[in-house]
Amino acid sequence: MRKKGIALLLILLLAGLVFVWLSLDRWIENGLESAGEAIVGAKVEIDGFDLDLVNLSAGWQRLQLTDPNNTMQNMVETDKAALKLHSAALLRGRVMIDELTLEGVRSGSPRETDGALPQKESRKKSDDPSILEKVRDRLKKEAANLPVMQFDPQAFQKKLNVDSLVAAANLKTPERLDSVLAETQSAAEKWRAFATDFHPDDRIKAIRDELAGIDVQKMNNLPELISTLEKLKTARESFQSLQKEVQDASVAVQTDLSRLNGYKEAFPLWIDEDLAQIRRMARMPDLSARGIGKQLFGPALLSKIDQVIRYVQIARGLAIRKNESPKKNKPDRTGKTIEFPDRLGWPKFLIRGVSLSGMTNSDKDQPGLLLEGQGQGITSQPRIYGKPTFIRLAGKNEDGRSLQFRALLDHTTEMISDSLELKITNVALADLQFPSNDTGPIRIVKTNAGLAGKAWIGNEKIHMNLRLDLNNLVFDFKGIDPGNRIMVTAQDILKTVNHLQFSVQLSGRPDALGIDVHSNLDNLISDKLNMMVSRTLEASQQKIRAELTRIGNEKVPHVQSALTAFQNESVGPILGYGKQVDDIQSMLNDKIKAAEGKQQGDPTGRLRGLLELIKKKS
Amino acid sequence: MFVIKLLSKIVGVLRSGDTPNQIAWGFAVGTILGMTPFGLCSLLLWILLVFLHINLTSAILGFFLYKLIASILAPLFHMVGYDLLVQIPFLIPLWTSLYNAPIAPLTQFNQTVAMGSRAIAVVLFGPHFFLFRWIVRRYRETWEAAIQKWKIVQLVKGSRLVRAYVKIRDWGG
Repeated sequence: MRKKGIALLLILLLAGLVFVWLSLDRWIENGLESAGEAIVGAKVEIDGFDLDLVNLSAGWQRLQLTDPNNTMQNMVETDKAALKLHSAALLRGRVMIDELTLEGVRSGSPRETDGALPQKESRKKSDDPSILEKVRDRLKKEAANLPVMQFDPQAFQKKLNVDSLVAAANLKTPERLDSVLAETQSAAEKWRAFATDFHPDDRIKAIRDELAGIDVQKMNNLPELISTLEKLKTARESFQSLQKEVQDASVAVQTDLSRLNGYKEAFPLWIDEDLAQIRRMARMPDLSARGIGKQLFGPALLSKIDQVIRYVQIARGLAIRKNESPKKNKPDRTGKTIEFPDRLGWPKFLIRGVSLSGMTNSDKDQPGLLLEGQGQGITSQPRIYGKPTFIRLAGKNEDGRSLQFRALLDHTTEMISDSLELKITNVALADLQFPSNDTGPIRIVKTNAGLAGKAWIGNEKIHMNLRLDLNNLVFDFKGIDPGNRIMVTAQDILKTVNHLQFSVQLSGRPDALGIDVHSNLDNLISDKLNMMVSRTLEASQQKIRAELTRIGNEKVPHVQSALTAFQNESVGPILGYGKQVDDIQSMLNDKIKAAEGKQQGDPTGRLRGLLELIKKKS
Repeated sequence: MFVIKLLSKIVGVLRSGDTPNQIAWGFAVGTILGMTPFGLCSLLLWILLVFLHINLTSAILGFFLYKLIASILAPLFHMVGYDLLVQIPFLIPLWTSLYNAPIAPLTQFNQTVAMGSRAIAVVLFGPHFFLFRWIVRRYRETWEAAIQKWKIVQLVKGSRLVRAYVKIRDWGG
């Protein structure tokens, strides 16, 4: 019975082994495809996978990694691949590949079928997005917020039109003239009110009568002398009080008058100020150098950078995989895998070295640049492996075309530090359109391009410099709207340009990412446009000044009339009192002189003493 | 039908020609296989079970019985496994050595549920063996005669269904 059972078991075991042997390649192939799709976010297909358990080696005939941005072409395609597994590591549950050889690596090859994943299988966005995901989100927002390159020729013309400029400007001259008018009217009112209480005529007449009644010839004795001098003294005191009041009023009214009259000198200065303000207004801040670069080339360049970052993201995902996050289901039911210190430095997955050969073009008949490259330390647990991942790719042709790519991805400590460097020279490009890929009116028919870029990506910071040089340019401007002054200006400049340079700089944390887009066209175009505005303004300066003067002169007669009225009604009468006061002063002085002549015959000298006293007091 | 079949199997095991030790060994090994997740260790145990002269039916009985219990006890296994792998410092060097040794990592020893279930299965192996051996002996010595007299057993044995089943069962001799 037991012998029969053993035989049955052996048969079952043998059948199982045969089944596993036959299915293993397919299982591993499916597993690798699923793992790759989870990273790439599009279909990964491996054809002809073969695992040799005796020699612990494997390989495939063809690998296709679909481009997630264009699922009808491959991001990477390879021909034959061969790898050797590390047996000791395999016995410890680790997958280590000592050497992986990839042949016929190429990019951009067309796919026979769509490589898009069904919606439910597409990679879900992580709850904790990586820095590159944050940067891509920021780039998308930046591209969406770029000023639209729809230049409004009417607005531009408006800026060059005197009437529009004057109408749009917040002119100060009319306001100031209104203010002078209001002040004049207020001053006139004030002095009118003053005049209702100020009546010096009676007092002038009284002092004048008092002085006329003093006869110095009648000072024949001492009592007469004293009486006359007392009268003189009283008249003098009354006069002084009157004189002070009249003089104060005269000074105040004259001050008001000259202050209000000052507008005549200020009026040309006010016009100058308004003119300067109009000139400032006519400047176009949106035509700054950075603005033009961003508007013309921003969307296309940011879209390209987004694509580059996406590829870097995929490369990082393929080269260095984060440790799997704990599963969401309750750990007390499914359990938890506890990791212990690794004494051998063997991560769960490692490719010690990769050698690859390939080409830049997908067409085997026209392979483009022939490439060769190496990779080291591609691992799922860089901290255990302890060495950074290094990737190098290079290619050169006799016609001067070359490509160099280097990446050092250091995830061996908490502080991630990824450095990437790319240099491409003398690549022929054709049919590039700006500012947008669909409707850009500037089309570069053909050019030779050079690209140089450096990037550093840390835990929460990124620095990226990218420079694109386009030489031997051939343009096509058929799509340019003749009313669009910026584009027409750009066209005029581009006709004379044989070298275009664009630079893009990303720097900082994703939430406060600095994005700068520059090109050598920036200054040329903005200078030319601003010069056009300046010239127009210069030519129109006299016209603007005349217009401003005309607007001012509409107000001036009202101000002048108010001032004249103020002068006639208030200033004239007050100054007239001053003249009468001066007359009284003369009369008073005459009387005092006469009294002095009379005192010459005073034997006692007492008369002289009194006169001195009066003079001192006056 | 399933209940009758199961009862018949249990009675069949208790009344079989195997010794109580062989039956108890089978049951105890079956409990280990039932409690622990399938892996390299269980595969080895299944092979041993076939090659050694121990009762297979009792092993299968123990396996199914404890497979049901194991799904309920998973949180307990996790707790015990976690304590053994993480909370006991003097064991950590042992686990570290196993983690770096060949083959051992393939046994999933560092998985908390696997470790906890194995530990509990090993601890319960002795009690299972002795308890089941005692049950077999007691059944054969004392309980069998008494049970055969139970009205329910008479009724069941007398039913057409059971007689038909026994006929079919005994066809092969």
